[in-house]
Amino acid sequence: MKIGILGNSHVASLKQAWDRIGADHPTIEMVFFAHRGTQMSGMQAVAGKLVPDNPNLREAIIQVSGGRPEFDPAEYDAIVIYGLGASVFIFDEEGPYSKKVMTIAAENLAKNNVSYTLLERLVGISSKPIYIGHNPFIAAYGAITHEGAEKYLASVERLNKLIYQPMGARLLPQPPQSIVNGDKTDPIYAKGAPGLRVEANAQDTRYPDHHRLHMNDAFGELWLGQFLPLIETAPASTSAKRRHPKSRRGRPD
Amino acid sequence: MNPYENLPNKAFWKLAVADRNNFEIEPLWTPKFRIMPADAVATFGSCFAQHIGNALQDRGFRWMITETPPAGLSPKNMTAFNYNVFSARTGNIYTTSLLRQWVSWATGESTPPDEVWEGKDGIIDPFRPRVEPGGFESVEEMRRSRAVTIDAFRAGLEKARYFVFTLGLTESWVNKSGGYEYPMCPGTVAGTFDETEHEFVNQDFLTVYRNLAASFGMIRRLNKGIRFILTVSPVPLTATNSDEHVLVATMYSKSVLRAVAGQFCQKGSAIDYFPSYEIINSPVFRNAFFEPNQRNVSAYGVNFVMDHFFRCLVAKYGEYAKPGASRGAAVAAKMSKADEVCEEALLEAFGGAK
Repeated sequence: MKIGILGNSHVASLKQAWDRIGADHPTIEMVFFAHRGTQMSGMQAVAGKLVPDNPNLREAIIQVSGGRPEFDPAEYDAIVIYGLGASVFIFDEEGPYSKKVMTIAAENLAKNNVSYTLLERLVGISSKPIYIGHNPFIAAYGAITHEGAEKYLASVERLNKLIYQPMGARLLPQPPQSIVNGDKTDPIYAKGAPGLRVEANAQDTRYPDHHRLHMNDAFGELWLGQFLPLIETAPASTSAKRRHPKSRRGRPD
Repeated sequence: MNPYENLPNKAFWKLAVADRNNFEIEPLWTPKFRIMPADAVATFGSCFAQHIGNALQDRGFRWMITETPPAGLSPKNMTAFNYNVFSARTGNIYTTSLLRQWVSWATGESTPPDEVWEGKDGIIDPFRPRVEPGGFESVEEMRRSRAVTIDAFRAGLEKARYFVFTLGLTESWVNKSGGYEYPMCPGTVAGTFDETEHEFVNQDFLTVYRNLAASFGMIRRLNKGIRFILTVSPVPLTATNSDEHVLVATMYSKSVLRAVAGQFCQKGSAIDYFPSYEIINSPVFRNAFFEPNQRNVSAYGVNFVMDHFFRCLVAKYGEYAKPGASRGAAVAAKMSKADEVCEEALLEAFGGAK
């Protein structure tokens, strides 16, 4: 099984984890396509592929993917869009907001980022199963409580019904065991987080220990540990039927 | 020797107005307080008050928002759901009696009436009829939401260094048996009009004055150090129920509100008045600040007024360490895009649009 992963700097934790555990999954191949920040928004749908619209992005894609200048969904059995600003609105029925405004805010939050832009473009050119991994929660600072992640997990399911399922995609939750304080990441997963290396001959870099936005390879391992059994037991042919208006007929790849 | 001999230029029409370029007539305000960028400023009141909060924020001042929107809500939807329009999601507080009603709910001196309105698509809050497009899912949700707003309104009163209030209307609608006031006449944007229960009151000077005094008294009990800045909305009435021509009714209403504001300003060192009403409405400016309907204030007009506000602060107290320079065209462009939330304007759609 071949998996294409599109992302930004957050992808580095998955890449490092995969370098460590990949050998344990000999039937799976993973190829990464990434650039920093929001630059992946330059991946345009052209003739059934996502093609960089500028030389800088093209260089990064070639470097990260090991020589591929564009992303061709036809080559992959499943696609992951990771990071790229995807966020989860946590619905709180006891909170200060009406259901209506929470639903609209959740939609606004889910759609106003590069992850959703790429999802729309992919849905228009491919019928391959697409999984969304959102930006990890910021690492907790100060006191930590092992408050349950029930509201978060319920919110992920709600977003799937509201937004992702109708597009034939699936939002995956952050591993619950990595969550503290209800909506933060346990800071042990932020220590020594790797930077995304997009330039040829660049040195490996790590974020300083006080950094809270990016996660380390241990987190990546947790995330893949949750994702891989899912992909291994759910063949592409059983993926959700896509109902995106722009892709009533997915490209026959 | 007479008292006029040593007066400054601004005291003489010829020197201060007639001999000057219209757009260089200033300063029209001598501020009583040096508002610092870090000072928390709460804004409430009529439609025009909405611009003050935005103008403060655009110039690096601390517009205090005590009822924040949910994360991720787009700016357009924030406005639609009345977030970041005023410091809390009260909707427009047009009259001093409505202000008194809100303050008394916030202080616990009274509680909101049980009345609810059933809209076509949901439950409408009679006291904030436009804050939730389509209405709330249930009465419980509506009451919970209003309680959140009342708490946020109270937090604003408690924490603000400055409370900016724009007086908008004298015409009001009250529930006779309940003794409470609606921001909008029932049956216009929502609800059902009942002539046996709903009564029109065009408030006089004393009524407006007493309600404002009572409101400020209650607010001061929550926050002794708070200072007030009053403005009068320059926006004419959309419609009047006073039996007068709407132009005459507008002049009555604004004159009363202006007189009350002036009276308050003279009375207290902790109360100031900013003349946005005069700047927009004075014949000196030859109607330059209105849209073609002669009612809505243009983005240019709003920007002119707010620039004047900050220029007067600088003129009296000097430049700020990080001066909030006018962003002129950029601010005007932003304002022209923003939809002003003015429930009263909806009267036009419910009887006045002829």
